[in-house]
Amino acid sequence: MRKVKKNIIGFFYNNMAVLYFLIIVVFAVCFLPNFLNVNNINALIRQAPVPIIRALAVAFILVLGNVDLSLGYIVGFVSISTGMMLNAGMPPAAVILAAILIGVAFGMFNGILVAAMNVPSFIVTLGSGYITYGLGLIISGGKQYSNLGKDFQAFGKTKILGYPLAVYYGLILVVIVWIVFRKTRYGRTLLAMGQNKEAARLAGLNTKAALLTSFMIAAGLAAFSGVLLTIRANVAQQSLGGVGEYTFEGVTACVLGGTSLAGGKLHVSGTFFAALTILIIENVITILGINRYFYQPVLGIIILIAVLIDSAKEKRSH
Amino acid sequence: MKKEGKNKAIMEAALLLALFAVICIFVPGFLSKANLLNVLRQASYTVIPAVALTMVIITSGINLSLGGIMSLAGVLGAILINKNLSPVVVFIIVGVMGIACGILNGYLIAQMRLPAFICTYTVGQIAAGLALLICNAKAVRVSDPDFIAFGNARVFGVQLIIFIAAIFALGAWFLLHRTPFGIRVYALGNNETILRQEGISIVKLQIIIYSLSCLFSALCGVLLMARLGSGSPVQGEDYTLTCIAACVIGGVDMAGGYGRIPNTVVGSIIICIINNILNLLAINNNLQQIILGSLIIILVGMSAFSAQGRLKLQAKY
Repeated sequence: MRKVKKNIIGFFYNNMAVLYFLIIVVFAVCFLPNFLNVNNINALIRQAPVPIIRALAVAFILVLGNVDLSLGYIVGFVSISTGMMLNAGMPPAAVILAAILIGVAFGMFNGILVAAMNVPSFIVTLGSGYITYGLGLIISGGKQYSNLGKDFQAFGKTKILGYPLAVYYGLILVVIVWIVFRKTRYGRTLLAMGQNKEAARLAGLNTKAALLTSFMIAAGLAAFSGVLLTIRANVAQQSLGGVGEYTFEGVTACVLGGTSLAGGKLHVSGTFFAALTILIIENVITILGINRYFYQPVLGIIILIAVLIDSAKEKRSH
Repeated sequence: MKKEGKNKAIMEAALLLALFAVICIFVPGFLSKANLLNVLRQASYTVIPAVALTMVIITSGINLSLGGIMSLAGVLGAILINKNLSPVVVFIIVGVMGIACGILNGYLIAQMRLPAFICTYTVGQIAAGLALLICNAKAVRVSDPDFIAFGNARVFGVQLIIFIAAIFALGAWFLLHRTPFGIRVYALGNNETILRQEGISIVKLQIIIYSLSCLFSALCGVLLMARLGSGSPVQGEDYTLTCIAACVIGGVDMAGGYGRIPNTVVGSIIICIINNILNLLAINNNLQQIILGSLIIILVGMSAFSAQGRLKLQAKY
């Protein structure tokens, strides 16, 4: 599927995200004196895990040509539940495990409706997002929790080689997801389904199970990112993770990374670099003092441009 | 298909009447003239985007940018009104913005063959983001009292917006059920090949349909802002789901090919009645969200269960 162009141009052609990443880094280094500041870079590194994991979660949904609009709400629910669980005295390890399972449960809800009842994913997740949000507000009574305890925070904040564990979680997950999509039968099933669902089914692949689990994995990853976010912010609240924008920013990273919106094509390394690129863009916007509400429209334009570029590449390869 | 639709309609009507009777008996304050007019007024802001959305869904598409465009339209409209532009000019400018969004949507979906839900979702997010941007996340208060008066005007004691919504609905009805354009819309949802044989550009048709939907949403956004007296950058947030729910309740098939304007209007009114009842019964706001979300999943799930619906949805998704 990839063109074999064994030179630098070929490399960038197939890995546009790396190119975008380099462009933004060069731009920032050259034009923003505050960018290369040690504190700034370290802050970026500490912030990186969540956008990366978010993009990975969305990737599992996009590869099958679906969308999950409820991820952001799941993150909020998970966040507030960790607060409640810690407050009730549960040990941090159990809380984290429970949080991920909660996410997976929501994902299962979405997956069952899409896989078994054939309800379009945008309808299911639009509805389930609302449900999750309402549920979260009801069980929390609108409260939020802070000062979540040293032990809980240690899960993400313990430093190894100068960097918090969360950073390593992000990197490890990228590698794991890369392996899943490149080397495992499951990953290849997802990719095959994304390209041609009927053909995959006729070829004997268990499409229903794959569809169901894709939502569960995505929600689980999102929940995990919610845990990391809660640890870093040291506050458990409903709106953590940016409810509505969560999915959108994840989609931006995936699309910029070379994942097709129609499904079937996924670029894990591209997604990784794209997530970093977007993080740096946000940083640049902040440093330049530009109105932060430029961020979302800029992301949208980025998606459109990336889609256009991708489509032009598709046309060329025919 | 027609007979199935007719039986469905009769069943739904009977169910509605029964429900209506129960509601009138058990919900305090529902039957008052003020409350009923209130419901109709609320429904008006759903009817306008929903009738255009009906056409989109009939063509097997969806418009998730509805809410974002309404928000952007409200904020943009408020800013323009405050600059002392004539309301007519404001409507035109915002309308053009709506059409531009529609063209963008239509182009991405029809020409570049990208899935409708992700395209409209993205455009919607862009619009919502722009809305926040141009007002810096603060609602823009309208400084023109005449405009606010217009937004809250009453004719013979009935709110003006109800008549305006009726006009929009009539226009959509006429387009869809009485013109060749309407026939093409149904053809697009049922049997594309006919259009190709007739030499009609499917891409152009899709662009027009999405433009109509976004235009209606934009104009409705200004009308909503006129009533509220301020342009809030999140005013359209809930309307996407509400309008989809209205269409679904109105029997518009998510898989495409079937849908009628009068039914969508009824669906809008029903959604608003549900909201109204939940409010009258003082049900927790958050519970209301859960109910609304569940409702739409259930309704679409039910329609997906019908044999024809399942086949179509499977082929599409």
